Amino acid sequence: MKKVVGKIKLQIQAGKANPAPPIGPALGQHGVNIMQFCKEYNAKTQDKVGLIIPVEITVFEDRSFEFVLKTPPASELLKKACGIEKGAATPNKTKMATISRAKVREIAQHKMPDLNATTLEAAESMVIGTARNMGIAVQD
Amino acid sequence: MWFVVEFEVEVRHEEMAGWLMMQLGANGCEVSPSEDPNVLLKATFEGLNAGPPDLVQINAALDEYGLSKSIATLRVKPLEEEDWLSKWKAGFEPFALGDSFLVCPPWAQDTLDEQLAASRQLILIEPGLAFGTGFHATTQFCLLCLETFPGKARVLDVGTGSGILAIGYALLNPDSEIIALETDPVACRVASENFELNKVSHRIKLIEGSTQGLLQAPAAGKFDLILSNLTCEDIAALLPDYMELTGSGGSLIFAGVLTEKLPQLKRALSDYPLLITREESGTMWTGLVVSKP
Repeated sequence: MKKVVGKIKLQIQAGKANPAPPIGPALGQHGVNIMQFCKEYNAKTQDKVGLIIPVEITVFEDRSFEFVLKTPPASELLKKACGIEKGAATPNKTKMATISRAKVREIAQHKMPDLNATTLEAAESMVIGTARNMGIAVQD
Repeated sequence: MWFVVEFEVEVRHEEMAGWLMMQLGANGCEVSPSEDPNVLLKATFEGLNAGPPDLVQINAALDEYGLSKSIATLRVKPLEEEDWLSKWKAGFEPFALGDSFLVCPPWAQDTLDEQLAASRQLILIEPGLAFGTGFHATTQFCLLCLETFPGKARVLDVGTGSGILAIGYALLNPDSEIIALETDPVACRVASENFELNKVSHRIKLIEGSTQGLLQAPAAGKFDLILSNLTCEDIAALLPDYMELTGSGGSLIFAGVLTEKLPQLKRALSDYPLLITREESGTMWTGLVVSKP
């Protein structure tokens, strides 16, 4: 079994990885072949262009690497579901969009593998928390 | 000039904080462990007119999204102008490929085994900021295919990257005519330098542009061979252009296709009168050679 020498966690645009920061410096310091990572990441995320697809990279002592793609941030999915450009200027005062409970459940189901939640209800609460921060009201 | 905006944020808000920075123009974010329950989020911004990102706007955004606790830890610093490629470059060693090629970084040329170097086509590649170092399975598939492709052909290398495939073909076939296309200006610069390094710049026409641009250019003509080491989606999107650019009896080499996406590419290919003549699948990547009757 190869020894793990580093773990790198990045949030980057699907299909658009390139050796510029943050990818270049983050991987370069571990001696990882940057272009190889970019090629593989882009190939795996090409069908999700326009979304942020976080990635967790494990680097081994022989400079080889493995990576796991994560689901897009809940904020991104909420924004898309509501068809909005950005959140409210003052989210606690101005509700700038609404989202149905069913849509929240859908997002929670999608995010479930990456959330620190054991039940769908707990995952929904997390998504609702993010929605609140963004000034999006949840409708029953 | 790049700037790093870094701050501590609670783990539960990590995703939203990163997303928010990217909404404000960050190129991406790196998340590192910090003191529980926080993580350290580092967002990289390309400086506008060499200036740092707008801190007032960043502070306001953090506040707006309920992340005001992070403001106290917020720091902005320029990213050191170091060559972050240098560490992995150190592990880049010459290697023989197929029956014909020896791929080598310029700094290792003096260490090459003389007999080996004399018996092979030496491709010198500066592993820089462009795709195509020769290490990758997809590049290797293309180079191995080139060994079997007859010379004196008109060849188009789409998305030439480092230029490695165009160089390989030029070295094997002195009578060929090669056009290397690339949309990324940084990769164009790298390819141009690698063509010089391999003394083939007079043999390869490097064009910064797309296949559409080439089709609109006067006398684009037809090609005997098209090299396309791109993603499955890119290749599928370019098929109409490839059909126009490939002459009768011509071939296309497709690499960069994830094996799991091969059915998708085959579905796209089935819309055209093309014949798959070679298919090699590894656990991750598949390469295809396709001919146009």
